[in-house]
Amino acid sequence: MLAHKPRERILIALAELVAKRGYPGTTVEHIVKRAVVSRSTFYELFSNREAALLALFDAAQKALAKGVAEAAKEADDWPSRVVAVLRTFLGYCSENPAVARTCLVEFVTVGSAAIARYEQSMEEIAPLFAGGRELAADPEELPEALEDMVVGSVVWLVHQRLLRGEAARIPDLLPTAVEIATSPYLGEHKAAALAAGL
Amino acid sequence: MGARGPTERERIRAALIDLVDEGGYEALELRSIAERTGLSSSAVAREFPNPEACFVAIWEEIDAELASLLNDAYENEEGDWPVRLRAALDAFLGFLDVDPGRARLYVVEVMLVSEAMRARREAAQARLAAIIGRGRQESEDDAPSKIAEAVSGAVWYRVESRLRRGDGPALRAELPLMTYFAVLPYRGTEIARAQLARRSHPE
Repeated sequence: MLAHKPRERILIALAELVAKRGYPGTTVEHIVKRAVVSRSTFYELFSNREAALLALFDAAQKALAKGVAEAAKEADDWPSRVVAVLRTFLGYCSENPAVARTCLVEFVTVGSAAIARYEQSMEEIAPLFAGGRELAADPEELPEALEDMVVGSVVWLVHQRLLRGEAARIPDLLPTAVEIATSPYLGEHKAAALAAGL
Repeated sequence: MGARGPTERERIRAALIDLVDEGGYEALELRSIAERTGLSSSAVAREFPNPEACFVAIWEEIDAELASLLNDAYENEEGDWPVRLRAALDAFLGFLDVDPGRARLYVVEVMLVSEAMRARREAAQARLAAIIGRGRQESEDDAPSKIAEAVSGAVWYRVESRLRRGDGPALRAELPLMTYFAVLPYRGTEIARAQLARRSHPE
């Protein structure tokens, strides 16, 4: 861990602590001890515990977005883009369980700024799924908030695995996530076939 | 519960819901429950040793009420699975709409209490998933139950985010969308679409 710069060390320590003991149970004392930095270093980088947590969320989102952009580059149509993005998302959560748990489970218990940030990031995912509307037989019939349901179902599945401490099994969710995310647009048969082929 | 239990308990329950709604679970103190109910601190302490025990007991009461409501709505409705599922979802959303403070306590604030209570919330969600999973045709008995979990998760997720925001129309307005989303993987586009065309509730 000491190989990282103080800022990264703080964020890693924060994720590990919050994932383990929750946000209310995590103090700046805990963080600086685990990160092996001084209190003054912490406060030079972050105004408080909440600011550090928001920075962690942003860093995780940035890392994930980078992975998603790379994975989506090789996908030449919407269904394969959805598969690539979901695979990347599930893989990231599985490989970074402390960060994923902090950002997806604990984050919304922090306060209104965190909740707003969380809701905003969820809204940013919706257009990926909404791209399927162009492939739907009768797109005007699709309900307006459909993408919120799709995002909710995927996030919830991951959320439950993280709560149960089953991060290693998160990638197994791919066929279910793909089927749920594509069936409103492709129809249930094509969606099931796509999921079955994974 | 003793002879005088129910009345005191009902007052405590109402106070708990209000206090959690106003200040969140973390600010909850037995002293404020006593002040709000007009009961003595020792009367409150007789019922509950600490705020967590109080929260847990009331949460379990709410959960038991909702569980039987959900079950009755599904079992008493006549018709095919989509109709019965819709009745169950309607009961779920309607129950939450009656008292948004109680709904926030039940769905949102419970996440702050303990890992054990998070597991209780998951069990509550699994009840809805079980009803959704009954849409599985007998011919597809190998269909993954994860689909039911995902659909029920989407319902909970949306309810949770609406309750956190604390604004907007009644949750029951979401009924057509939620029924559509739940019916789709099991009965296909056409039957699911019919759910969208139906009004959320006859009022």
